[in-house]
Amino acid sequence: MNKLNDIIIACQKGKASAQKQIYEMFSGKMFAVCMRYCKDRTEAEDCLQEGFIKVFGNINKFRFKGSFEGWVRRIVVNTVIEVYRKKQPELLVDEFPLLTEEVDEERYDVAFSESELLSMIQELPPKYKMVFNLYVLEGYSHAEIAETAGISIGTSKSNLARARQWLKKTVETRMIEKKQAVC
Amino acid sequence: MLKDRKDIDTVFKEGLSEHLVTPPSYVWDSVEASLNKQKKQSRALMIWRSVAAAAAVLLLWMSVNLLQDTTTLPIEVSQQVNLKSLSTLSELDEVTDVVETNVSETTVASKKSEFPEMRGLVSKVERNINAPSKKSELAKSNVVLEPLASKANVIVETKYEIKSTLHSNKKKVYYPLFASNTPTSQKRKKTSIRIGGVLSPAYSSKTSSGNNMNMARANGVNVDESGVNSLGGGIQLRVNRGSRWSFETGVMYAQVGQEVTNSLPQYMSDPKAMVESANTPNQMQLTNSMGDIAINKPLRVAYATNRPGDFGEYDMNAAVPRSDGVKQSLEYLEIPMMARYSLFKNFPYVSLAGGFSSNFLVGNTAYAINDSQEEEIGKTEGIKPFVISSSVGVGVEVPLGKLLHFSLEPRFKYFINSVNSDSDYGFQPYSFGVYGGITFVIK
Repeated sequence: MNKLNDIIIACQKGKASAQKQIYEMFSGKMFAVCMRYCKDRTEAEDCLQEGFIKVFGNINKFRFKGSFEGWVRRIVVNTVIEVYRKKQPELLVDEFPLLTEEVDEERYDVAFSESELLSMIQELPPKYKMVFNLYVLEGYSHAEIAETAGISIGTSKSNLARARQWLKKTVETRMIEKKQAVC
Repeated sequence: MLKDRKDIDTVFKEGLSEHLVTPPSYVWDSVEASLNKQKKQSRALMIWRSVAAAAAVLLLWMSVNLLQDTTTLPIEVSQQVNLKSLSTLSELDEVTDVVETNVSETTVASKKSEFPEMRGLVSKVERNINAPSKKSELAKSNVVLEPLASKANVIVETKYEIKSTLHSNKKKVYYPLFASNTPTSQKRKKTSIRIGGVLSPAYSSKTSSGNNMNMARANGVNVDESGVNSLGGGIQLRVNRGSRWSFETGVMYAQVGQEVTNSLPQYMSDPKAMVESANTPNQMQLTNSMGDIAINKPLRVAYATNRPGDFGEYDMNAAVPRSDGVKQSLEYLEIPMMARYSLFKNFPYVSLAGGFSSNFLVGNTAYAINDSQEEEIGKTEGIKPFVISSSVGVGVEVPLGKLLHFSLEPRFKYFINSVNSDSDYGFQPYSFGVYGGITFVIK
C-alpha cells in the first residue's frame, strides 16, 4: 500500500516512470470497465486513453482518502459517460418510464465465463447497458446515476428494469444452448 | 444447490468482479505522447503568461510616462534665476554643452530655439547637473527611456502544437430500441459571471461642427485645438450564458477634453491689458469649439516690464506674459452596455465588443496652462449633464489561473451627441484607450 502511495506521489511530481507504473497496475481492470460500457474494442481503447490522460492530469487532486483504484475507476466511468453524451445525446433522454418496478425473484445456477458475461452486457442497448453497469457493477444509486448521466431517477429505474429483462432472456437462451450442447 | 443460485445482478457482479482485459500497447504510447504534449503546452502557456504580464507592466509604465509632462525641468527652475551670476556669454555656451550631453540634446536644443529666454534657464540647470546626485539621476532617466523606445516594434512569437490523440475515425452508430418523442438534445447552459477592475490610459480628441460664433470672434487669429491624454478605469461585470455571446456592464470613470492654444489673441499685443482684463472675473472670452468658458477665478498672469533679451533688468518671475493655452476637461461616470462575441472557444481568447454607454457628467473644469502648470480657472458653459457614446473594441484575455484572467482591450469610443447643449457648439469627443485589468470568475 505504501508502495502504491509512493508511486502516486512520484506521479504527482510528474515522473514519467511512475505514470507508466500506475498505468500498468490499473489499465487491465479499467479496460475491462470500458469494454462493458462501449460498443466495441476501438471505442473502449479511446475511452481508456482519455480516462488515463484525465487521471494523470488530475492526480494532484487525489488526497489519499479512500481507495485509489476507486478514484481512477470513477474518472474512467465519467469519461465513458461523457463520450455517451457527446456522441449519442439522444441515448440519455428520458423516455416513458415503467409504472411498476419489478421484483427480481428468479435465480440462476449456471456459471458463465467472464467473456460470455461481457458479451451479454455488450449486446444490451446502450441506454440500458449504461444504467445496468452503473447500478449493478459500479454500485451507484439511482440518484447518482440520474445526476451523472443527466437523466431522471424514473428513467434510471425503468432502464434498469428493462436491462434486467433483456439479460434474463439472454441468460436463459444461453442456458438452453449450453444444455443442448452437453446433450 | 438452491443456495448457490443467484439473481441476475449477482450473476454479473460476481462473474465480472475480477475481470481484466489487457489493452494493446499502443494505448499507453498514445497516453504518453499526449502527456508529453500537455507538458510542452503548459510550458508555452507559462511563457505566454510571462510575456503578457511583462507587456501589462510595460503598458502601464508607458501610460504613466505619457501622461506625465516631460518638459517641466527647465520651466520650474527658471523662476529664481539671476542672470547676473554669469560673468560672460562664453561661459553660458560652455554650460549649454554640458546640459546637451547629459540631459537630452533634442529637448534643450528645441527649447533654446523656440524660446530665446531659455538661454537664461540653462544656467540654473547647469548648477543642478554639476551636483553629482542630480547628474546621476538625469543619466538614469536616459538609460531607462532608450530601451523603451526600441521595444516599440517587438513582436513576440509563440508556437502552439495541436493535440493529437488516438481516436478512431470509424463512425459509431447506435440503434436505440425505442423511439422517443421528446427533444433529441438537452443543452445545459451554464451562466458564468465575471467581475473585474480595469485601468485605461486614453487619448481623446474631438470632431466639431456648428455655427460657432465664438470662433468668429477670433478675427482671423489661428486657434489650435489638440487632444489630451487621460487616465480612466472602473469596474466591469460580464455575464455569459454558455454561448459565445456575453453581456457587459459596469461603472467607469472617463475623461475627455481638449487643449486650446492661442486662445487669447486680443491680449497678445498688450500683455498689460490682458492681465487687467483677466483679473476681472467673468469677463473673458476664450475662443474654442467646446463652449464658452465661465471664469470664476482670476488668471494669475504677470507681464514683463522689459522686453525679453534685455538681460540687464529682466525678471523671470514676471517674464511669462503668455498663457500657453487653456485645457477644458470633462469627467464622466460611464455605464456601458456592451455585447461581446468570442472569436474562439479556446485559447487564444480573443473577442469583439461593441455597444453604447450612458455618460453622466461629474466634472467640468477649465484650466489655464502656464509653463506646463495647470491652474483651474472655471468651467465650460452649456455642457449637457448626460450624453450617449458608442464603443468598439478588440479584447484579449489570458488566464492567470482557474478563476483569474488578465484582459487587455484597445477600445475606440465616440460620443454620438454633442456635449454642449448650445447648437453653436457641435463638439463630439472621441477617444482611443487601452483597457487593461484583472477579471475574477465569481460564478
